[in-house]
Amino acid sequence: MPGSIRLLSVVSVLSALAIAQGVPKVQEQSPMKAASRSEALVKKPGDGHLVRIQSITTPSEMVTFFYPPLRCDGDGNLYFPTELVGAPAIRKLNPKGERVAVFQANQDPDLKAGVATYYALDPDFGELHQLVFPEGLDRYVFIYKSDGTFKSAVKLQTDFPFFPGRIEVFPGGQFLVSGEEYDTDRTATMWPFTGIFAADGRLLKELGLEDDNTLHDMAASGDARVTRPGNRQANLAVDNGFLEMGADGNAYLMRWGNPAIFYAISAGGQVVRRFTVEGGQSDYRPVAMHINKNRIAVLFWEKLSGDEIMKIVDLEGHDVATYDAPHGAKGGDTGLGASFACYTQNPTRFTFLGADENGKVQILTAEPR
Amino acid sequence: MDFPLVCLVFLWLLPRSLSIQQHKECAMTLARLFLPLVIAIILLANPHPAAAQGGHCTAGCLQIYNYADAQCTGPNCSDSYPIEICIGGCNCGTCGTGGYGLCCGHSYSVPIIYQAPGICCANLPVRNHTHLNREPSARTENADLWTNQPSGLIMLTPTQRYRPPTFVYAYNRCSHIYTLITDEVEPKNRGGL
Repeated sequence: MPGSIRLLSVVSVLSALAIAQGVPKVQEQSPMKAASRSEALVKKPGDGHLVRIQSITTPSEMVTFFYPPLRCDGDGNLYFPTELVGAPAIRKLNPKGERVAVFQANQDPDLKAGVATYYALDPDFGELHQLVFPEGLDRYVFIYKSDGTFKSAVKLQTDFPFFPGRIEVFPGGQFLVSGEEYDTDRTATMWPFTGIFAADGRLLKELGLEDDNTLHDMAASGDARVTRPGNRQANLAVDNGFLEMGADGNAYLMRWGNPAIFYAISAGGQVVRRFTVEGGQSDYRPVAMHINKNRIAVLFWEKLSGDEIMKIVDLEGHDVATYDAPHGAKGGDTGLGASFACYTQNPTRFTFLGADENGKVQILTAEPR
Repeated sequence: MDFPLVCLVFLWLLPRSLSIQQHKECAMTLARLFLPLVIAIILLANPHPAAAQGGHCTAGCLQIYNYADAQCTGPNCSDSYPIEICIGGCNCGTCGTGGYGLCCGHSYSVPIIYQAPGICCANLPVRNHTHLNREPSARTENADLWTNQPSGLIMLTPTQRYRPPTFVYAYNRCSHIYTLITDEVEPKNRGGL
């Protein structure tokens, strides 16, 4: 048997064994092959393009949709919600793609948590804080330990009905919550709400952000940039935004749009700065945002073509780099999808979640070239 | 005869002391005075359906909340769809499935509120947001969402309604074909109707 064929057979057997034993399947992309493939796709100028360098197919994680937010912690573990309604759950995978924890909102016997949505990761204690909606108008933050076990529930105390959509936790334990509240006409477009809550759920301060009124008026007047046919109360600039902590101790709230608007908000409720991040052509929209140390990565995509741009800025909004990925959102052998889960520096890596043809979750790693 | 009280006394206690003309004038005067009172009493005795249950919503106080976009992926496909969730709010009704779509070949549904009589959030304060550029919302999409009798529902009994299977063609932007989606729904009891 020729050596190359024998080697191929050994690799095939090992690969088959790996699948049979439930070991994550790792595929290293040939840098030469990947580079030449992506070079052929490059159309727009920039600082480089995103090249997929590794694919890990998880042994047992199945997925149909990716619900935001997708996140990672300092150890490289990845978090992704698998259900928001009914039996809400967030799965935690280690860097090899093995499941290490599940955060289930129905663990508290005293509170029937029918809906659980956005969450924040506490880097100091490894805890996960999630917005939870029991029946009625009460809004809670559920706190879980890093292994997924339920720790406590904190009721967000306001004397008016509101709809928290995003949460982040300051090092001092306060929550920054962004969401919406009713207009006096409760069928009209809602108003943005941003507040600082104490760790016990008391509303400490409500913030009026510079663009709140403008964004509300755009939605109320039916501006197609921030509205969706069929839901006249929604405001996409608020609903599709993101919120993460920066290394400087400020929380960074992003309003969805192009340009995306950022507010750096301190634990005391001060808007430290406001800046915008341009996403190239006007038909691009932000699809995910992550912060690592002193850098912010915003993924913009153009939905129809699947073209993507990864914009890197510092915590003051200054451009650092722009990487493109023509047709990058398209699934397949080289695509990354649009489910951007993690950004790290030194070396610069972007982690996406995808699914293979059988629906198994894939961890896709890209780097700029 | 200008004083209603005098009219009242003569009409009820001494009717024979009045002439026919005086009798008519008295009756007209009293009718003008007491008609609004009678109407008010009738209204109080037969309140608006929404308040028929003491203003309390028995179906459920809900809100369709637009949370974010979900991502889907597939071979040569990338797409997203809006995640709308039925959660506690200030609209009285029940949640149901309002529509379907496809995201890279995977079907998803969006909720709808079937409005029911009753009042929600009556005791909660309404915060007054005002600023100079504020404009009233004039859009009327989704009007069928808030009607009392959602289309497509068949009343089997006064408290049991049935939605026949829905046949929906959802366009798959990736494969450029329409896919038929059917929804088999069993009759369900829904209180408060």
